Amino acid sequence: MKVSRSLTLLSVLLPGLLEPTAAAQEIAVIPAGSGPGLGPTAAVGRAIVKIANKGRRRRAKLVYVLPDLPAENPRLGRKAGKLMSAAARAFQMMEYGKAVELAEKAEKIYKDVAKSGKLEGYVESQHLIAASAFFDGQMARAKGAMNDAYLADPRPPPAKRFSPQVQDLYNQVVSEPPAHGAVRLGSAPPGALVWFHHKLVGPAAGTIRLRAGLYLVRAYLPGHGVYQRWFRVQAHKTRDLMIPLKQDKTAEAETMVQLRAESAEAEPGATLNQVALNVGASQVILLTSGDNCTPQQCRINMGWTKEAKWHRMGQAVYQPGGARRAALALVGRKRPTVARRTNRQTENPLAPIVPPGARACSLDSDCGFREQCIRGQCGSVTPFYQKWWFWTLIGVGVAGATVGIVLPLTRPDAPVISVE
Amino acid sequence: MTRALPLLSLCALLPIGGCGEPDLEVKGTLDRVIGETVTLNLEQGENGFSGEIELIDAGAHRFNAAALKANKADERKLSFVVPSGATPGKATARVERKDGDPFRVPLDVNRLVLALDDQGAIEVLPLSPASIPTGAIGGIDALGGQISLSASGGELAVLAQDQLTLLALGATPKPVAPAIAQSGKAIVALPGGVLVCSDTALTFVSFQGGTTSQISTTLSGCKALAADRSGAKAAVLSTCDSDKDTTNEDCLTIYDIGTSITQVTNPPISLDTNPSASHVAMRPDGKAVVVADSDAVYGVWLDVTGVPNPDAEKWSQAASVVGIAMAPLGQGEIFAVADATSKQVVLYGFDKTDFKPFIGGAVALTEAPTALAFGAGTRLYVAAGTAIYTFDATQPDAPTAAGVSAASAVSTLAVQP
Repeated sequence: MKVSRSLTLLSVLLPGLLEPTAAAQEIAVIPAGSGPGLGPTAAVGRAIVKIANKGRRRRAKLVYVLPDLPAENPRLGRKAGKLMSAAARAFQMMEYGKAVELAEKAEKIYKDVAKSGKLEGYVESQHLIAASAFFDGQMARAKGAMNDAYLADPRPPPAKRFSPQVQDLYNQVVSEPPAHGAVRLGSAPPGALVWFHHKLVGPAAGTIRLRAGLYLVRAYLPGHGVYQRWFRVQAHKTRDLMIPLKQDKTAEAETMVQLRAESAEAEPGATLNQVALNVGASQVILLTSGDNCTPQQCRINMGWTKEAKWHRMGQAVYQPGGARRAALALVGRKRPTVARRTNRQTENPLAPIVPPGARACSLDSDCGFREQCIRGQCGSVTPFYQKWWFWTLIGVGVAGATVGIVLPLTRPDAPVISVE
Repeated sequence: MTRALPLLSLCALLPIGGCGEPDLEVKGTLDRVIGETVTLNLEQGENGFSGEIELIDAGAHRFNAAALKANKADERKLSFVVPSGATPGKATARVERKDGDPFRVPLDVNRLVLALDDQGAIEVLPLSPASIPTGAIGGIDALGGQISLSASGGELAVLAQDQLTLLALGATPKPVAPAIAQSGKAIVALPGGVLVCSDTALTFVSFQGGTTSQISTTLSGCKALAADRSGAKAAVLSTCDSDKDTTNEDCLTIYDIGTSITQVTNPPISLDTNPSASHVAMRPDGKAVVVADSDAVYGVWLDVTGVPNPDAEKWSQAASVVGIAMAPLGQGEIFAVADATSKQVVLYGFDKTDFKPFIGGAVALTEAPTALAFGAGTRLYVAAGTAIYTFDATQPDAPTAAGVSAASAVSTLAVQP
């Protein structure tokens, strides 16, 4: 019962990841260290994800099942719903300023609601703010809200509710090169896991780069309550996020206890397979900690499932600063070359996959005319005269020259004042 | 499309910036002094002056048209006076036009210290930051003479060698009218003219309109002279025998200056029977007079009905008063007395109809003061030989060097307000 409840909760936390996909090629990396072993398993897990994702395609992700979050206060939801209805009416009446104002009030309430695991209301309010601000001529505000909505839910605003212009705004925000910011993480006590929205980024240590925008940050360390706060990652800036954890008797999710227990069994158990199914992963790398584990030194045990069987088991010793080394020891020291990677794709599940139709390469000379070898694939190169900045410079030059010629001919005489 | 926007907006802005009205050309004398009249002539360009003007000084203080006594002769000619209190340094006259952006005329404002030295030179010492050089007013031998600065600071009266001159101050001071023959013991520069007292008469010489005219009344034994800011009231310190007992006294006589000169206090106010007083000063509002002699400072309140009753503040020891300076109106009605014997400048303030020394209001100097004068606000300047010191009279503390010094020992000092 507890397992299914936790998995239900996970489904809430990870919208869009639940539906088992036909082409489930993803790897779920689960840091399941107990006590002080959680931080080291998370650090090694993050390193494994990094190694696995070092292609163009994202294939691996960190997964951890949180304990139950506080229940939603239905009164808040109703209040926010009323505000959203009023905002929608104002939007229909083209009172965009009022619509923004009402939607912002609703957004404030939805931010509280989101702490119980539901982000839909928040995303909806951001979409309405973006649309209203867009039609009110506040482009920066509109883009900001659309970006914040995108971070929480990458799907476009519902086409039934929002016009093609708003869809265009969404496409514009998504297609523009995103601005990034950095967050310097820390927790007291150290070793907590940190999520930005639904994405587990690893232990609260070091600096991470993220797309700029507003995130719901969660942090958890067994024996402590789930920490939640909204946090804005600012473009081109580094912000500190020190997470103060409060001791709490909230039990660790039963799923995590079960996963640790199954790691010692001869075959992956039902919990492990269910987690894989729920997160749409065909493989799971389960990381547990050995006895006497400390944040300074920890033996990491790996169980790697594939087709509901243990595919590989391994052990490595983790020390601070040595997460990548431990990860390589667990999943394979050598990174295969591109050619080998293509050929041995089925042999090494961590090898980046070249999409169908793309040509693998190792040098620019492997590619055709006006192509470059980019991350092991041939890609076209845009010539400079097709770049926007080139024509901007040309335009500025022409305008400047025109002004330089015309101005002396048309300029009135300068006023002259004599001071006596 | 979005990438084309910066290009389009840039192209649209360039012609707007380029085709605007060309920059203003300003020519003429931009180095000006406090109290000086500045005339702006729009020689070329459209849209004349609206009459509105504002001066923003180096301290970012703004002076409106009324404070500048602005006068629009026509749409292309406007004059104004550099206001007292302006901070020396770079200033901008913002002159509104009938249409279009205002003209911004840059000026350099200077505050002058004027020192009559024992060689007879009238030294011009601009306070820092200054755009005009230190020098002396040429063509006048003022040895043994007197100088007096008008309340606005724009005019300097000089009485020397039985010649009376009124100079309009500027980068190069110029007489406002030809000098006239006039003898006297003391002078006070008033708006539009000079009040002179001699052994036999009190005379107001008008210098208005580039010509001179006079009115006068008889008196005897004038030793010192003072007047209020408006020039409507004057106080004469003299030696007289007011009670006809054949003993001379220090006497104070008040006069109204108008179309004629009228004696207000008759007989004169008798201060003491030891006729040693040498300096007199009048409050800018004309409500009180102070007199200093060797044993006391007298305050005479004039704003009461009946015979004024002098109030005396005794010196603790004999004094050699070298000057009295009265702070400008609205600055706490403070006055200062410089005493060469004690090497002190003693500060007083009026308390309703009384006057009293400041608590701790005596500033000691390392050498004997020779002259003193107030500058802007309550800033007091004291000359001691060739050195000139300064301090804030409301917060008497150790004086600091004023940043200028005279070429020879100063006997009379004046500082533009």
